[in-house]
Amino acid sequence: MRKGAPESMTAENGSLAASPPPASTSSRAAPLGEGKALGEAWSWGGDLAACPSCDLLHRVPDLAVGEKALCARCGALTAARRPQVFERLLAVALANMVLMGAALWFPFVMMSRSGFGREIRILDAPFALAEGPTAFIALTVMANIALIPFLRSLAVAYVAAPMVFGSAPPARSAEALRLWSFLRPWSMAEIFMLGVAVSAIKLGSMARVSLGPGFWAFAALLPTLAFENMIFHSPSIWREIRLRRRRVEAAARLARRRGRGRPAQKGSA
Amino acid sequence: MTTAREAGLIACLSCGALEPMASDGGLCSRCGGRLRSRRPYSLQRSAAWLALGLMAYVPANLWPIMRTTTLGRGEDNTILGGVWVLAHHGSWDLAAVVFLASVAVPMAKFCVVGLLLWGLAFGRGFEPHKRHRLHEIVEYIGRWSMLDVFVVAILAALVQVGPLASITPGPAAGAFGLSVAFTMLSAQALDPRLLWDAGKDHA
Repeated sequence: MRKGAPESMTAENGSLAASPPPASTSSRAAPLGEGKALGEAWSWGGDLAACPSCDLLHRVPDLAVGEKALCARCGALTAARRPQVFERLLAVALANMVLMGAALWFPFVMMSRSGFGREIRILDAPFALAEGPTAFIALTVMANIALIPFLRSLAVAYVAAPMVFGSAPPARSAEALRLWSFLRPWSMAEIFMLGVAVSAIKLGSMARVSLGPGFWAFAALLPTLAFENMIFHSPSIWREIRLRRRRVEAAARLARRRGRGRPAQKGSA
Repeated sequence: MTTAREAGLIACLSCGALEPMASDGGLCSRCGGRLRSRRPYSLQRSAAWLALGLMAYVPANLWPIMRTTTLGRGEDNTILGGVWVLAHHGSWDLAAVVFLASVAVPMAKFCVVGLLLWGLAFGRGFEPHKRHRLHEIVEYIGRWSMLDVFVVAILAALVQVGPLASITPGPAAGAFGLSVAFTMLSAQALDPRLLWDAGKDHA
């Protein structure tokens, strides 16, 4: 990965000092020659993009696979070209959903003290809040620790799966991608885990606490959730989708042209 | 250094498309997301959420966050009371974690967001890079305050050992959860691009 922010975005591409940028970036204006069409279809960057966090305009460099571009001013991630991003997103989203299912299904934590024992699953925690003055927060807690992480992975899988198998992005994928970003701060699995640790230590002096398979599934879920967060970058996903579309179109154009070309040659021969 | 706004463009935050300034408030032609050059009433909204967060934070500290019943004898604990009990029993590390998550972080958040808003509204305060850093930290760290609510939920679910001991959540858990949610919304409502506009108009 290219680390230093300035050289990746500023060096020769410049953060657009003086030259006024075109009003629109979708420069599909002039009819393109065959070679140029293919060339454009293969370049990853070249257009303008604004930093999502400070609004500075950049020309996105033609990143190599694995490189990322950071804002020259505030350092926020502006573009990232991840290797096999759809394959990885699909894999990690499926893993998340399976692990979340296991974490919810299997016993989570057991506690025993002088003959009395108790075993809970994850969702027993929000249910414990559901009575009395904390009822309104129970659903939020349930969403934070289980529903939202699951839903976000589902959204990722929904968009990534067709891309992996070479089809067009599915209908409503824009909504799915937006939902993913919108829910990002409200997914709190890792905080819940810290809560489990604090509770276990708190109880440790008074009772025997043991961990069930649900706990281990949830523990395994944390790094995969973090990986999903790490490789997902909404504008870059969009860029990959557009790139895919452009390549398919360019290939189709090429095929059409050859298709027109050949019979003509045969006819003249 | 030209921003999209200065170039007469709006960046779609979802797909990255650049659209002309005239489409402010409309939908992105590529992905259908809402286009906002700067979030409208960003400072006002952020301040309003912050005020709500403060309001919820008061009962969260005054009311009991959980009730421990041991052999028929009930005992109420507030957040600070719980921290004190932990420290008293010698688990300093645990007391520190709980104190950090439920007292230090929310307090720091109220102060930092308040300072940022003050600086933006009255054109003084930190230099943009520092502002940006503070906002990033607040957005990242604010969620961790939810810790206390989760601990109460787990303890209340787990400690139901017949007549020996039981824990029930108190009203402060709800108030505290609300306070965390409100302050998270406050940090989100603050458009980070405004932090860099400083001095220029920020409608």
